[in-house]
Amino acid sequence: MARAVAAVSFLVAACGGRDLSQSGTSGHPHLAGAGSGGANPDAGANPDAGANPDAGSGGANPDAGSGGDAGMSPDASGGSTGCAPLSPIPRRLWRLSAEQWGNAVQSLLNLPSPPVLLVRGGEADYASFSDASLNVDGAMLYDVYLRAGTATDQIDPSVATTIAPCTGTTDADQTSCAMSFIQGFASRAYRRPVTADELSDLMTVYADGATDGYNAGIELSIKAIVASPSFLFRTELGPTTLTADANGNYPDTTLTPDEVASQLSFTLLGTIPDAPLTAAAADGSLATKDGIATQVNRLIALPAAQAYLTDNVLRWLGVGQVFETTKTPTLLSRSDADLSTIQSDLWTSAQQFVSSILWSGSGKLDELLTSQTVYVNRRLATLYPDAIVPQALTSDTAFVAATWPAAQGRSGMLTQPSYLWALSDPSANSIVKRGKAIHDNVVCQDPLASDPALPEAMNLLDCKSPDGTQTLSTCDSEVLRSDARIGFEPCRACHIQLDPYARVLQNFDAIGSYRTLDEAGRSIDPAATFFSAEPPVSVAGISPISAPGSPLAPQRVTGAQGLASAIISTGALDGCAVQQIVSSAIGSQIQKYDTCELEPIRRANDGTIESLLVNVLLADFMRARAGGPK
Amino acid sequence: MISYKFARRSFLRGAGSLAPLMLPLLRSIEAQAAGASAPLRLLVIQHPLGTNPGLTNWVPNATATTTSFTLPFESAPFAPLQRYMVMIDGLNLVAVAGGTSSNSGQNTAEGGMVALMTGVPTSGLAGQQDHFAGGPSIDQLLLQRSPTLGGTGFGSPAPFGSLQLAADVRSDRDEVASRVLSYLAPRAGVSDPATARQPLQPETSPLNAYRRLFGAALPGSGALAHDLSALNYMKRDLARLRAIAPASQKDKLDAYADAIAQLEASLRAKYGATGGACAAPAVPASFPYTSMGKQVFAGASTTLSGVDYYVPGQPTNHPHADLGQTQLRLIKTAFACDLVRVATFMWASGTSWVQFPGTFQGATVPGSLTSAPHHAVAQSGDTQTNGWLSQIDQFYSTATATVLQEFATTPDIDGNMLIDNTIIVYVTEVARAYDSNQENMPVILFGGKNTKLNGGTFLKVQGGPLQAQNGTTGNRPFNDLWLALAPVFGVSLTSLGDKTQYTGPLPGVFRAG
Repeated sequence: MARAVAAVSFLVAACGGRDLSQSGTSGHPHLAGAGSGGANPDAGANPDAGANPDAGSGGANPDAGSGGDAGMSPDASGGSTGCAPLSPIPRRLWRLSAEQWGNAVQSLLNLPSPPVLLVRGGEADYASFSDASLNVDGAMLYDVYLRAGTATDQIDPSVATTIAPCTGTTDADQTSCAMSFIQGFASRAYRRPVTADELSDLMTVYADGATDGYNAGIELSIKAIVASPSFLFRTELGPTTLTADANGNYPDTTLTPDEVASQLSFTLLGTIPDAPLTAAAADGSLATKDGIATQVNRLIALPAAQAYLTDNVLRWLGVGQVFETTKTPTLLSRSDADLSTIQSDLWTSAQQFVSSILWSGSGKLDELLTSQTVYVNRRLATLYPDAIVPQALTSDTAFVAATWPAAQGRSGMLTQPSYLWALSDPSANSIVKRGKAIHDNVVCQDPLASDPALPEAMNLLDCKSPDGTQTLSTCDSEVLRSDARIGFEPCRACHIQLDPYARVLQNFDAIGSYRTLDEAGRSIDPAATFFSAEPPVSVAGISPISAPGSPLAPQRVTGAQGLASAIISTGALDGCAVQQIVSSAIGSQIQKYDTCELEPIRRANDGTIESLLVNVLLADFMRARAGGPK
Repeated sequence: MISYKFARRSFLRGAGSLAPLMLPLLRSIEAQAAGASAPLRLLVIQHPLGTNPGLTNWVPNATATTTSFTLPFESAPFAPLQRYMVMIDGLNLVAVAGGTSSNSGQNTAEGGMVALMTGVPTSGLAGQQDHFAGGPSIDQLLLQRSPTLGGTGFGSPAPFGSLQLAADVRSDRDEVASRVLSYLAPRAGVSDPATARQPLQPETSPLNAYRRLFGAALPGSGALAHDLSALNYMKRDLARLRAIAPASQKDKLDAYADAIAQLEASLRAKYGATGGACAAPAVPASFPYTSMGKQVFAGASTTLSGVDYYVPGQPTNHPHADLGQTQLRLIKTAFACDLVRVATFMWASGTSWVQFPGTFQGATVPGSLTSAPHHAVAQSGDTQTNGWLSQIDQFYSTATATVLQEFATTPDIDGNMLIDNTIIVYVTEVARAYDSNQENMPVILFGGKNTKLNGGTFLKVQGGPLQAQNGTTGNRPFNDLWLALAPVFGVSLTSLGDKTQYTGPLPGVFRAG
């Protein structure tokens, strides 16, 4: 499926749209995919590129990413005409996400729960993936060291019996125990065999700590390992036997089996490889696609992988913001629970909704948009009394499947309370937040221009004419504010693309309850028209504004169910899911929907999550790494 | 022969549970034995919206002499620090337009923030008044060039480089210019000035600043030597990774190296191994926003969140003051621990949205307002409003002076007080609020005996080419102060900005030699 694109170098957000980052990073540049648009300022020179939904080749830039090495992306040969190749992925170091670090430490020490880093080193809260561009900064390393200390305090009573068993009491006995432990522990932590140099250095750390006893020596060595760069960074460097040419350049290469094991494990489990995966790396089976497929299928079947992937799907869609979005007390007056309890319940409800479809049900991503099921406990059933429960609920811990009245026109995730809550303001729904979330993460429309912080835009936010001389409306509802944005530049170009996705959801308030009147007491008309791209608009003081057209255009849609049908009929969610999963797997947000390497995966995908993951992880570009200067 | 290191450890072990209490004493003995000297530091503090028209409530009256003067209402809170201060009257801020913009930002709060700190022509403009800094701010310029401040290339730099903190950054139209003091030099080779400028956005959360500087209290009682052993391993692991990683990954490895240096400095601070008043402070409180979401007042607006002067219904709760003083105290400790040697602090943006009560310290703003944002009402120019603004300026003096007095009573590593080794520049981006005039910019410098500052001085600038607020001529460009300051930090700076923006180092502020 090719999609027309006006390939302009866009950032995020538009008039009134802020704080919506659900990707891996806050404030960091993206590497992959964006290179084509960003590197070539002429890439969007054809203003009509997005006007015709079938004109994908005309809108794309044949020169985009021409610096890429075709040999690096053998999958790209099957891509659509005019697609933009993925920028080659260099040999690199990839920092663990805050969550991955916690999971890995939990795995290594058998902790009941993962240590939680409060300092995330530039990673957005509830990021849906680990951004490969991120560094370890001072604040993060301090927090890592601090949490490592907390973790070793936790295991202190069991160090000599379980963690690093040792019955000997002499220095020699304990040194021998320590060496055995450190060799195994560091190898697991580093996802490869530990070298003699590393072992020697770690024994020095042990000896320094052991001046306060065996446990102290073991715990100090654990802290050193889990705060060291070899633990904090995944290596994607290829074989250590790689040599540079006469100019000091290394050749292109592929990941080693140990590195492939880490890739599969961190992508699917969010932690270090388990024993079977480590064994598969050691016996060479991960050097073949069959061997990789065997491990992917094994891992996907693990409950831990399903739980991890469910959470990532929710974060990709933006549901993670449910924890960050407070609500005015009047909206919660039916509930006897406090805000944080409700937020936690909503997250659990969303987990069960996604899990029931992807892992226990059809596995079809499209069903995420159509299911009429909602999972509720007693508290949520009280807050959402419209939910039709099979029996009166008394438990706050057990969630049961309920349904919605047909007349509400609900449709899958788009109308789940968790989703609508997360993408609303404290007292009112937010057309900008909802619209942008669907635009970016459900249909993967290419990114929009940054917010033009101009007086004209500020006037439109107040429902005044751009010059501020006329009042356009009473400005007392989201729809009226949306009317102003859609009606005039400099907001119109982007908001005719964003707002329609949310205007069809107007029947659902800031916590996701059904309503027929909006916040100003007016009847709701949940219909919207989706537009193709318009020619770039020149606005004084900033670059011309343009926006890619909607993949649903041109059509008029009514309500959530109409939107879901339109998305499914165009294959937009399936196509978007490929873009999002690949972005997650390579650690860099792919900005362009029409990226060549994604097309073969889209064609091979049967619409299930399993098919999607297998096809992504078997793609050659996942293991190919570009050489370069030493 | 027993090494000193071993003897030190034995001393502390012998002290048993009293060891933590003995550490400051031991540090003091060690520092004095080593003849330790303290580094010179720089702190720039901004308060918003100038002083009252004519500076009559700010500078001493006409009978004042250079060394005998009485501070009037707005600056009176600094009286206890008078022997450490040089108050200057007669410097004009000169803003010059650059890039494709013809708007210099002269006589605006936004342009004032940029011109004040960079001293050079802007590189362009976005929106209404979002002027692009055309060069590094003076704090960053000195940091880079000064061996005293330990900037790049001079060895043993303070691990965190510099620190930018603020109490509030809400600004009209959310523009950057009025809510940033510090800038790195614009990126070389980047033609778009909006992309090229490099504002160092200040941190408004004391908790975040604390976490960055000091982390949280480490659990257990592990010795510093043990932690340093772990850090040594991390450094060796880093070196091994450097040997095999490609050039493209150098930045990540360099960042990790910096992180280890910062971790080591934080641990030394935590264990009290740095000296003087260095001890990690208590974990600061979090300050919930008192204003969030879009605010609109008198035709201006912001969508940024912030903490106001007061909380309705809680007459003794003044979170803006508490937050700002907490930030200043974090800077004080960061100086004492030598975590940074350069810092900037903003009380609020030049177009401040901090809400003050409609009746504040007895002065009432017109309009029967329960409260009002500082800047939005500041430009009416009537006597009643000016009286309200004067009270707010006096409040900022009081809040700042309280912490500066702590600089004067906190021991430094060399046995002097922190203020003896710290130059503090108290500035504002306009001279007066109602028309944002920038003639006779209010400025005070503080510093003790190792700073070369001519303490106890009221310096009336004379003989310059520029016009004063009262219509006479004799003022000089503000950059002349920066030219006088630079040599104190070992930096030769003979010019700064356009030829209209400087005349030469301002005499009388610092002692020669």
